[in-house]
Amino acid sequence: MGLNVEKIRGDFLVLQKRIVYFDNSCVTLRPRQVVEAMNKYYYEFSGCAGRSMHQFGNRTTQEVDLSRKQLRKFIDAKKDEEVIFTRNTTEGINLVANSFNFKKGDKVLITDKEHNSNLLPWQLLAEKGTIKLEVINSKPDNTFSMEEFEEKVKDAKLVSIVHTSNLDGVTNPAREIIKTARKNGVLVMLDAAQSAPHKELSVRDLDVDFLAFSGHKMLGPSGMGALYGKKELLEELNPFLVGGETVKDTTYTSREWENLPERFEAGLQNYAGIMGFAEATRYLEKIGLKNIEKHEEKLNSQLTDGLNKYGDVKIIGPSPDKRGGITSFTIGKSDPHQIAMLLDHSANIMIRSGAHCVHSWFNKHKISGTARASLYLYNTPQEVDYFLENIKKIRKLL
Amino acid sequence: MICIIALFVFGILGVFSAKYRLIAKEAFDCVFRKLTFRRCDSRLDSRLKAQITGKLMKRHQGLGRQIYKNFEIISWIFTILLFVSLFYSGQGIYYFAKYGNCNGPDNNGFCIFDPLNNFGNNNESETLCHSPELQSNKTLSFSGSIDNNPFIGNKNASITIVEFGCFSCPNTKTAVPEVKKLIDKYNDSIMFVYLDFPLPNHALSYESSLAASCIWINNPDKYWDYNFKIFDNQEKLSLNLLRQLTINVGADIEKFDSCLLNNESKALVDSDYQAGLDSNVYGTPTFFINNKPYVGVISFKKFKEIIESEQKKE
Repeated sequence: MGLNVEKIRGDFLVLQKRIVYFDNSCVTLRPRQVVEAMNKYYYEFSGCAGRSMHQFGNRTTQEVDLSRKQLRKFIDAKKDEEVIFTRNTTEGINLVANSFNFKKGDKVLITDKEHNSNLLPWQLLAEKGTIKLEVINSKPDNTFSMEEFEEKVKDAKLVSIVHTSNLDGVTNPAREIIKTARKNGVLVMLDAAQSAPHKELSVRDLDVDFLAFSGHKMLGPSGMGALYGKKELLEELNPFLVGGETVKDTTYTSREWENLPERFEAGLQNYAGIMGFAEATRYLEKIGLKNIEKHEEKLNSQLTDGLNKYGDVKIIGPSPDKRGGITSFTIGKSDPHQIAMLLDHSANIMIRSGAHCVHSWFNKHKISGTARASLYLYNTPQEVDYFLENIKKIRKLL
Repeated sequence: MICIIALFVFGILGVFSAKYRLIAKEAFDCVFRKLTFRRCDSRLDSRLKAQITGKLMKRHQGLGRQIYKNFEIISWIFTILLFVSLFYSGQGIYYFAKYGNCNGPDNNGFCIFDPLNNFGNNNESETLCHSPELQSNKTLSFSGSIDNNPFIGNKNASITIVEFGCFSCPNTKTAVPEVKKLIDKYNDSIMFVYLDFPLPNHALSYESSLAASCIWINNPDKYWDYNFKIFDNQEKLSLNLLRQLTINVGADIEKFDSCLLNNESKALVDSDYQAGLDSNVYGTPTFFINNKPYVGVISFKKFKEIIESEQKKE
């Protein structure tokens, strides 16, 4: 069953503004249902979860638990306590990087297309001498090099890689990567910020050890994310951020840590955000992630075909069927920011430009940046045509 | 170049809105970096370029394209125009401050700082000290003698300007800078005469007139200095101060004391006041320029217009 895009668009009030929003890899728009779920908390029962015994407190606790269950279901995790609420993917990765019991010299593998969020935490640990960091270089078409990975994974402790790249939309072969890592007794963490919103994920099926993703890239509120970790692994992590709700009891010299997942959720949580996040996943499930994935690929194929007509347009990465809903491109030697700004001001088309927080890859390839169109469930073929029509117009300027 | 224009435009708009203040700050940073041969980090220049041409493209694609392609040249042109206009605005402000006319001393054209010419067209109710006892419904016509009165300028000039003033009147004081400019500019072509019209409801006005007239009687060369100094010190006038000012201007203090003691200047002051009453003067300052009355403060610009008009009659 395909998507009823017109019906979906009706849920996004901001689309009444006659804009074309192609910056979904950065942050998506939010449907009415998500905003209402958040408002419901603020208007009806804005209490504290897990602490206060009054009716608002109880209701908040109940809704947070239900939200966690929903998130667990969305990623097909085994237990609710394997889902830890974070602010975003960045926090999830930092939590693992700073809590994991590394032995001096343990090797961590990343790819050459990591977002700064999955580069810097490891880079800092490597600088402190805690770990040894190695980078897996992509193949010339920017896809994952299984050969190089097989070589480098042998003596690694942890592999932390991007699932779907925000740079070019390429999805790394997580299943094979994890299988190979398992054979070598290596743990795997996936940065699923760009995959969880667009693909059906099953952490059990993938057998991944850690997986981090963000709400704001999947119709959810800003400032909300989640970290999945296998229970037995989470139990071994050292608490990272500590404070309220992370302990059962304290004396002036000791403490008894709280159970999972609260042990890693320090301080008062973003309850409205948690509820909005859960509602966003319900919305996506209702539409069907396979439908969304198919829709994006179709649109991206149309977009790529249109851009390929111009000799001076260069698309980063392989064919559109391997790039999901993301197309990163340059037009001759033009400044990508100019492309984005001209599209915005002349045609109300919003795309991203620059290094997309993957500076390391751009520096390696000596490219200053790209313009990036990223699609989602509410985008239409008409919008893609309009985008291509305006690319044609601005090419004459650049 | 566009950053320089942005700095001025958003700097002015920033006075009214914090939103524009941030852009002005960015523009300042951009200009500073460019002046030090560095790249503008905020990309304000390229943002403005895209914003302006993008909006134009919505209306007229060809125009947008032309502006985009020639953006740097157009920015240069506007920057030069900005500096030219800043120069002329500065000059206008200077002229306005100095001559009451932003077009310079010899030009009475339209002045944006004074679009309704309010500065020149004295508003009687706002620029006149009025005494309730005096009637204002009679026709003003100068009647009196000016032979013994303090004057400055050319005694044989064809234009005579008579001022009835009160030393305690704030509006007479307001007229002083305009009168000074008038005297500076037309010293050779006018005779300016000051007649005392000490308003009965103004404290120390009569005493000040008596003191000033004593200076005129005994040290006429010190008179105008003394006259202006009284106005300078109008808010703190006292008998002691009048005496101190005499010393300050270098007049003979003994003669001054004697003059006041013997009421030597009373006749002159009373005669001036009577001349004012006879001329139906009802407030200060009141000017008679070649016998034509002007009530209230007159700007230098207005004085100039009147004088030029009188000169044309000759």
